[in-house]
Amino acid sequence: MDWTDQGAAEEARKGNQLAFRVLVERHSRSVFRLAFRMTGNEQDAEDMVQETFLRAFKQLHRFDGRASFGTWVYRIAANCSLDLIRARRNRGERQPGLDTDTAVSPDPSPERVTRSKQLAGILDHALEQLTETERTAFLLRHYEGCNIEQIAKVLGVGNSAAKHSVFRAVQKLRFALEPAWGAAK
Amino acid sequence: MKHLSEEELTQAYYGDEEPEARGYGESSQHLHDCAECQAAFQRLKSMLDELLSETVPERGPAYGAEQFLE
Repeated sequence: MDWTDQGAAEEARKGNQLAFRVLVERHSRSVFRLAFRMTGNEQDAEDMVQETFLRAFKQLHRFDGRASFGTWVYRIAANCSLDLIRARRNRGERQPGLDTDTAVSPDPSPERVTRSKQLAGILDHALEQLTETERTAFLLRHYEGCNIEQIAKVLGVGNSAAKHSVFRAVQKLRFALEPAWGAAK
Repeated sequence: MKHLSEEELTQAYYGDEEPEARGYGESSQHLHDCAECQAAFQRLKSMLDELLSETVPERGPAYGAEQFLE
């Protein structure tokens, strides 16, 4: 079926499972990417993909089409990931760093693997300095290419607050990364 | 003209320049003309570009189909 996201969401709301499947197939990879960057490891990201679409299915009646389906599902994915991070924190567990054994390019050189691990370690520490909102805003802007309006919708804030969150995140990262960066190079 | 603030440099990097902040196109014109701002922008760009080399595990085209909850 050649549905738009909007059309598929409307069909899915009426109980059409094939339409929901279309949405899952279209958006799973981007949800995985966001969840991986937020949670820091592959297994958690996989769990977040499942949880995100389970929540999306249950909440389909709330999708009103004002934002795109992709933005709406990003919001759910971000919230699922934040719930996991908060639960971890409440249990006194540390947020794991990016799983650098898997987070490298498909055919990495030894130098690239080393550099990637160095970068990941520095970046993990820097990301810990950000608030949840700043971290989410930054990941969406920097890695997912979301515009300010989309980020605002995901975060449930105004455009100006979303823009400020991206700026604060970059400012904190720069402050944290620049000294360590020079040492790693 | 005043140098670009950190916020304006960040906006320039992401292409989120606010026309009302200095007058339309004024920030990019200043960035084009000012060596000091260009250097600051390059430092920021270099850091942010390097972060883009952080990749995530690949998921194939069939990944979405594998997720569907029956």
